[in-house]
Amino acid sequence: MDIFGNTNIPFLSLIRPLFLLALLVYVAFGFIVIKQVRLMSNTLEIGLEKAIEVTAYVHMFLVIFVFVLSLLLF
Amino acid sequence: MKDIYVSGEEKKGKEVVLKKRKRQKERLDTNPLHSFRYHPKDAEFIHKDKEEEIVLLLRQHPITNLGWIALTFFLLLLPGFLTAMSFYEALSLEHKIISLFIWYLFVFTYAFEKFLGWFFSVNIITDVRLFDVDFHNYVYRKITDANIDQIQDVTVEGIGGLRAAFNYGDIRIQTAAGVPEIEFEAVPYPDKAAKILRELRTREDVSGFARGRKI
Repeated sequence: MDIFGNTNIPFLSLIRPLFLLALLVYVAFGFIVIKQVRLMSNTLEIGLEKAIEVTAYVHMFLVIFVFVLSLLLF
Repeated sequence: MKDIYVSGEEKKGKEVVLKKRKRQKERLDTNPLHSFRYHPKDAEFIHKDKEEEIVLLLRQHPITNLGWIALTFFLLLLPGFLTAMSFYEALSLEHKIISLFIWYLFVFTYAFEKFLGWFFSVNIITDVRLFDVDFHNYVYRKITDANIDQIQDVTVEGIGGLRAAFNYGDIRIQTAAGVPEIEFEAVPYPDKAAKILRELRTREDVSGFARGRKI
């Protein structure tokens, strides 16, 4: 059954806000990752803390990049 | 029997072996990725006393990472197979780009979480206590500690062919502390670790007795 067949609303315009909302949650998750990595680095100093923190920031940057890319292209 | 005469070449050979052993030991102590670090240099943890000395730092054997590393490689290769499918061809170029970015981001997040889970889940044995840190995922971590003199029983378990082949296993420590059992999971050389723990317990018992605690 085509639920969108009888309306003029295109399928993607319905999906888009949900998709962007999910990515926004992912951005918040990226911040949590940084926070948790910092917390663990403060709890344990066993080497590689700087490298791990940098990786967490790269992860955050990538999440924001994908969010912005989706805003522009999706 | 001690040698009365040692030739120059033999001396040189012994020196080379000793230097090699020293280098190996230093590598064990300073490599942050090593799973069995005896008297690790520059290692610290929260609420560590000034006089407290870390005797052993353990984490799961590197072979336990094999599963998630293999899965990560599979997930990295998966889009290559998907592109051959018809529904993927129906997507516009923009959607293809975004879906690929999101896919690789998920894979990165997954692999990073697994690595952190392995790296930060450590068991620390100091000269006065045990410190067990479990990093389950990005939002859940657990820290347990117990004094050495509260240890009641130490059990070493090594079940399975892989564990026997790579010499790793579990150490279960029964304590009289609030947490009745602390478990060191899949740690390398469990017998060596248990032996170190036993020696520390004996030392603690003797010093406790000397201080008059056991009277």
